[in-house]
Amino acid sequence: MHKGFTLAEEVVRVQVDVPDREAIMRLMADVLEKEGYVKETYKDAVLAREEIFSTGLPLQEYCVAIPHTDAIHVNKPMIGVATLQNPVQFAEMGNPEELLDVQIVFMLAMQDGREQIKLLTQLMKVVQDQELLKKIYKADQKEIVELINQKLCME
Amino acid sequence: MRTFKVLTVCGTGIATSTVASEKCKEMLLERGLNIEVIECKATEVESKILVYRPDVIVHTTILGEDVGNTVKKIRGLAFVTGVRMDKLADEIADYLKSVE
Repeated sequence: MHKGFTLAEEVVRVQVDVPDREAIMRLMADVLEKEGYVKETYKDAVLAREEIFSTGLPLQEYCVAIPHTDAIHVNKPMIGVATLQNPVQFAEMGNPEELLDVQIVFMLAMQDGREQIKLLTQLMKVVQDQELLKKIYKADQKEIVELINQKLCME
Repeated sequence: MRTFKVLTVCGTGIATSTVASEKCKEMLLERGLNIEVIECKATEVESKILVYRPDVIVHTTILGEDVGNTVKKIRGLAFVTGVRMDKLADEIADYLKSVE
């Protein structure tokens, strides 16, 4: 397991039915805030940032978005995970003209510091593994926690 | 061969640019290039250029057309998604070799 980090089941939501990206970001920010991982300023900050610096990642089968914001809004590191019943549109990172149909959202609550790099690098291995994303998309809450923690602890 | 300087840029300077810089360093080393990478936020680009004088900017976020125009800019999203990552590393390596 990654030092000091385990994905918590409380911040995983499966097959959520939301109309748009704002709705899923609001929902996940509320979840992270309720569990104490982020400050109350996080939600507005993450919503505002997404409109300027979009976070959709163009992948093969399942596109992913990784909304996040500055560390000052975060209490402790966590990754909120949501699978979406129907895709919602996120703009591509670095290319706001391009809209992607996103089905999996990883909402990052990240702090500064070099120790976060390893965690992020491991998370990117999740993002880059289409087979794993397929499993995550079809999994329940408990299975998602297992799948992701397993991947995060692999070197 | 000298050590090239790469500036990686994302919106916050903690998330994607960090991942991109690690990947970038690793893949350019594999291509026989010595590089040094620093990360910054999109808003810091101009000041970092003055101080750090990078050979190339690899950005995972949008940069305004008027930002960083004194330095070659390459989109680095492939380092985050893994899709066509080799092609991107080749592109950066070719560019750096061409300016040596």
